[in-house]
Amino acid sequence: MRGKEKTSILLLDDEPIVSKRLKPSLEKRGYEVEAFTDGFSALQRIKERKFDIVVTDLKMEGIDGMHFLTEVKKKFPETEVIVITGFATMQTAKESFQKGVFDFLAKPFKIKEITEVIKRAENRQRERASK
Amino acid sequence: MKMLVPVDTNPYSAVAARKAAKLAINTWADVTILGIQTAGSAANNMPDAALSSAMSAYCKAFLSNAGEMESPYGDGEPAPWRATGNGVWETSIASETAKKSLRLMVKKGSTLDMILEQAAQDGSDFIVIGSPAKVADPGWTGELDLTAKVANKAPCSVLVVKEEKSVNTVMGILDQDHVSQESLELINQMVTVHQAELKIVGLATAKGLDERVEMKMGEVLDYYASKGVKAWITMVKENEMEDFAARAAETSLVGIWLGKKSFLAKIFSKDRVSQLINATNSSVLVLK
Repeated sequence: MRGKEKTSILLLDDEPIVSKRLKPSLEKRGYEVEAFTDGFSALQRIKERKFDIVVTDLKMEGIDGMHFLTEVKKKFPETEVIVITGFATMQTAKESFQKGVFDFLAKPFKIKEITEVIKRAENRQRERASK
Repeated sequence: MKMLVPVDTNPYSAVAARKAAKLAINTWADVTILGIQTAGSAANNMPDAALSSAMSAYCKAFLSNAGEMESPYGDGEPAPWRATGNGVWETSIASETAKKSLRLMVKKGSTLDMILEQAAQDGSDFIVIGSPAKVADPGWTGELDLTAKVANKAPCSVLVVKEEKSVNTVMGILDQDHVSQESLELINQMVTVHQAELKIVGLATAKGLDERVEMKMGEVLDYYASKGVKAWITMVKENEMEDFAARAAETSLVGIWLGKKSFLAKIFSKDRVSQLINATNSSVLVLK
């Protein structure tokens, strides 16, 4: 995240309805958003470029969210990852935090809630950059 | 997920708080425990002592229910109550390790109005509320049939908790034409938290199963299959649905979708929803 550039967000959820709802709302709020419904394409994309923030589902066919978040943090430790899941358990929450996620949101949630989490993630990146 | 847990000092609120704690600790929900003082309550400058004491006890369920796991609400104690408005007091858990918020709030006013107002203010996704097991049992003061009114009027889904028992089956009664994504997501969370079997109930017309309905239910099955959730589908005729729901509620956690566009809402009039909630000893999930 540099200067006045838009904060970039990669959104990964295998349910198209989630991206359909979130992508335009986040773009309206000034974010640059790329949405993916399969983990392989998303994984390919993070090999090509860095995102400031990644929002990923956990339970998906093919590459699951836990693997994806591990790969993101390995390649870009400073990228903040937000996990969204419809199948939350204490174990998945704990594992997510052990892998360095910024926040863990169970579905359903409102756009306002995830937007607040994204703003907090941006603030953390700004604080880190200013040190 | 944002969860609202309205409570009073009756035993059913303790049961509801324990259920809410189990759900919240698994879903890492931001939680507001809301106690309501009726306008005539004695204390003016502090929350009612019995209510605040009960709320502190309910709060402990959220801090201790994580077993060996760290609670998302940290390990602190509630800070002293502070007035945040006219007839409004708040406190929260003061813990540096907290990852999610656990707020205790007391409001003075009409119980129903205060619950609905707080749900709107918080943008709650889910309300968990306790209910007396039988209609004749003493319950929420100030409102007759309060839990059914909350279930009918709340802008979000409502879990009416009756008694503490394990849930082996979640029975999702859906309107296959318009069921909301939020409802499917909440059913998923219920199945996951309870490690329960999922049964999906669809509506058949009086003539039986038509092609359109069959296709829709196939899509619902595919949705769950893609999530690795084994789901069973049952079709019930419109005119038998009410009896079916009442019977199912005896053995399962029944989740019934009564959103704005729900055809089920036409079958289950508000009075019938009240009857369903009042007639069963089990918990009922009203999905929006």
